[in-house]
Amino acid sequence: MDDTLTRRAQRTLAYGFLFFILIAMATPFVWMLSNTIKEQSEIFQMPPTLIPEEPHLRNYVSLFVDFDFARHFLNSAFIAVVHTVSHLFLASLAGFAFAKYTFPLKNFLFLVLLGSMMVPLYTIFIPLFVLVIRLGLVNSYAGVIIPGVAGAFGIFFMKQSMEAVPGELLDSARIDGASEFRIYWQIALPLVRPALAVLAVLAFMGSWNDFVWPLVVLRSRELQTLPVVMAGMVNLYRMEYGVVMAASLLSTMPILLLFLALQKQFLAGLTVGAVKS
Amino acid sequence: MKRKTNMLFAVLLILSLLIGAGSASAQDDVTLTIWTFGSFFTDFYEGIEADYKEIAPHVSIVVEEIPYGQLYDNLQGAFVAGVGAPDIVDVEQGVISRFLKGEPGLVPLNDLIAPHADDYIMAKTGLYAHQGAIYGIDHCLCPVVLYYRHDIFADAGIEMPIATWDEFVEAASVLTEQGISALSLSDRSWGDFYMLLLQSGSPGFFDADGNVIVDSPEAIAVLEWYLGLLESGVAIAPGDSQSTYGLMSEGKIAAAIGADWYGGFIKNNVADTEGLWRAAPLPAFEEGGARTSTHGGTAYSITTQSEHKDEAWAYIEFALFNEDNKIFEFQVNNLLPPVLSHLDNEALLGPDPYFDNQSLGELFLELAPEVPHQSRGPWFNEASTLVGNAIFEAAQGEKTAEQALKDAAAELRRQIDFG
Amino acid sequence: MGLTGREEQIRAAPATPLQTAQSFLTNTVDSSIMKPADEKGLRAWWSRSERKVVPYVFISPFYILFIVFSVGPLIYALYLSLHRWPGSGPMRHVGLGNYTYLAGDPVFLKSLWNTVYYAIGAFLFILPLALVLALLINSTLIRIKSLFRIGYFLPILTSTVAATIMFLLIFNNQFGLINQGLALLGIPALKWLDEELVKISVLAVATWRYTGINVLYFLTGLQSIPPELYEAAQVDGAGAWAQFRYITIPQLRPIALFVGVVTMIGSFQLFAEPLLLANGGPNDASLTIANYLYRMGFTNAKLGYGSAIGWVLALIIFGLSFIQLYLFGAFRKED
Repeated sequence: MDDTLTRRAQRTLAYGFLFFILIAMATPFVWMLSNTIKEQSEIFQMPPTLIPEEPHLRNYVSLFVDFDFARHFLNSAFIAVVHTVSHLFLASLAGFAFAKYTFPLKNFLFLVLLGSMMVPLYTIFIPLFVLVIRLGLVNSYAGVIIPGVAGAFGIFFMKQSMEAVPGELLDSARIDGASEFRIYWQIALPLVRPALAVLAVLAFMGSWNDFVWPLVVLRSRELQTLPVVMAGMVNLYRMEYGVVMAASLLSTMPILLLFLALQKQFLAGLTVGAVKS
Repeated sequence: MKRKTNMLFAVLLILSLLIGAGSASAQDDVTLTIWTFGSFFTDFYEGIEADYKEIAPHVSIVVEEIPYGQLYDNLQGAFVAGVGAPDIVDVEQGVISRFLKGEPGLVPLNDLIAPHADDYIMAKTGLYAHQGAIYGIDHCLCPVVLYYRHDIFADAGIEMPIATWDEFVEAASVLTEQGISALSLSDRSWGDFYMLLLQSGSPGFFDADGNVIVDSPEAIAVLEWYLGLLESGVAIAPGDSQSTYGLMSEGKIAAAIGADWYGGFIKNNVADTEGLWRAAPLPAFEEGGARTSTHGGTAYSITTQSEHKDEAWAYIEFALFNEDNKIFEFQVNNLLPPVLSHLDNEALLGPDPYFDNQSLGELFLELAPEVPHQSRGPWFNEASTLVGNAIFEAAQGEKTAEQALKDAAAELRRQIDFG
Repeated sequence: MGLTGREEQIRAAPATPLQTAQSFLTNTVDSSIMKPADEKGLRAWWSRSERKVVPYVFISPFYILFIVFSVGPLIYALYLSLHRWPGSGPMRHVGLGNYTYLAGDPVFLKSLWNTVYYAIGAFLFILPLALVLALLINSTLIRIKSLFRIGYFLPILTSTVAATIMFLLIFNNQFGLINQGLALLGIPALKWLDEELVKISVLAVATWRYTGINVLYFLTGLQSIPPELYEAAQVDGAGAWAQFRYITIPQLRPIALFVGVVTMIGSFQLFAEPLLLANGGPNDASLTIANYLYRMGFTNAKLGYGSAIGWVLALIIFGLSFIQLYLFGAFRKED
């Protein structure tokens, strides 16, 4: 009796805290949502209005008519999908190798990998720019996708997740004569599904929101991605605040949908127990 | 023998093909690539494309729009690489100085603009010049005026326009008593101070020879006066543009100095005060002194990597000096042409309902010849950052205006020595 | 019973560099990789060596791309950092001159302090908050888990440009949402974007933006803890605290290490938030090293000096990551 009472109190407290943080985090987002259907001057009106005085959809219309939103959306989607799929494969493969094998120079190679994350982009920006031109990658989607496809971040993340995969499982598969790739593909990979789902969202998001690199590679307006177009809406001589917020809102949708689609995977947890028994 | 004639024939054939190809390519299609940072410039280039095709059928224009900032990083990359730069690039005034260091990747345009020197407002070339070479020709005049709430000034019994800053400050005390700030000035960035410094007759942060004059007596005097406005409450420093618009909308700020495009910003962001604004010449520092300044600008530049420099200049001439184009550009992006003979065009002189049906164009036309000269050169970015910080330190009371500018100048000289 | 075993594992000292070096040596001496094709043929060689060759194959895509797209540029940047050069014209060789200038450059030192401030803030606020949120979401107390997971994740999806506009409205010195809230409580308005508070405001934006993603990382870690461990502990009569202390914490170690290193790298490379919120100011009060690097290398076209800043920044991050990895025992030989 007493026990259920404390549990109820605990639960109320837990929900209270979670909702408090949720509201704090969602407020700017919800406010932004309302700003997408306001006049520019109402966005700056003080005190701010949550429900617009004269709501309209002109910002959204302008997005599609003046800024060719659909076209850039598809460009971004293509790049992000190809990047995500290839990155999941390469990062989990390398992460598996780092987590589950001992091999000469492993620690050194891993430090090199980590080191690659520590170099600020603007340190190597100029040489990269030169390289893109010399390699003939200008204006190609391959040039946008290939350089970052085996990024260190994803490998590091997958390594840490792969470490939870029990070595005995892999060894018993080896005794059964499975090839190393098959062990990775059929045993290790299914076990880290939650991590893969998280990495899928992160990789997609990284590619979807990437700003500087597409600008280095892509020159034609028709090929450009969404963040680039959005950055053009607010600058020194032009401030389309309502439009940029509408664009921001619409551009979060694909990642949100992916997130929802992968919900089940997040929840899956590591099913080691089932495999073991 | 036959074999030999065949050979000769073949050689001749190849030669003629080569020559033919050569002469064909001279008249052949030329593609000019333009890098620009704003869709309003893209809209302009696309709008005049068809007309230019009639004049120069062999020239095609490719506009590549790259967001501000990244455009110039890419341009720097292209200069270092030695390849990849466009033919024409829109260089915003705030970024030009980094391209004036070393051996500029931009072409000096002095000889090309010289024939237009009577019509083009040459004061605008100082922004893009170094050691006598002009590397950019501005799209816009960007004359500075005083935008003010005529209702507030009328209520306070102040008659506008006011001739001098001294009279303005004196009259403003009536507003201060009512809790209204007569002006809005920044206490942390260099722009407002720079506009006023230029108006006072100074060439800015550098003299014509490129010497640092940030700590000149003139600059110190202007900053002391500037800070005095903030201290006495004649001016307020809202800190950011949103606050400024909010205070304008509430009637807590009665006036602001700004260029032609700033009028558009007020219009868009303080829409609820339609009809309550007007514009006047800046009050002069002394009777008969300059009544305007200049703020902002974006120049056409040609890169040294361009293989079609002549065609590039021909296109710029068309875009800049064809009156129809310039008027069209004004309609697209509200930038006033820096060309005297265009300024009296009726399209620019119409009444503006937002500004109480005043014709801002007439005011700009009147002030255009007074737009001040300035000299900038390669160290302007360093200077403007340091001066912005100096203004902030002085406004916070951490240093006197004189000390803040002296420290800024010393640091600036140190940075220039460093190279 | 698993508890003591787990405990031993946490207490096991990380490998010393000497041990690590020894393990390199013993592994390298094992030379069967390099001996293909004896009488039993390639197949036999492969079946013997597969485990030794395969990891290199698995990790090779990263290293190929790394060599092409990073090693060359890095060496070039190192070369540049020994010169003064505005991107055109002759280069002036200055040896370590850029590095010595850096050590006495007041703005660099200010940006270094600002960056350290942000990094400490991230470890003090963002990570603990994210861990608590993840633990709560993962606990049996909470049923509607996905709402929170998505809600906390929303901020990082918002475009930086749009988010900045919103936060300028929130932190506005005159009318900001926060100051209006304070006014309701009778507290006078605070200048959130002025010298004293601007770093806190930047940190608040960073907390808003990056907490959710760390919640997600921690949740991944929590979900990879085999439930059997908890079941066994319950059978042994371990309470909630003991379970947390002896199962959750040690089991979270790999992911905590990841989160720690990534957060450190991220906060030392913080770029967009201070730039957009306050342009690095006022008076450079919010400027980060990455902002300063950009200002020098690009805005002011000091390519050599910018490269020196970049190298120093990378070395700082590398050193701190190495310490973190070492403390977490990441170089410990696999069991």
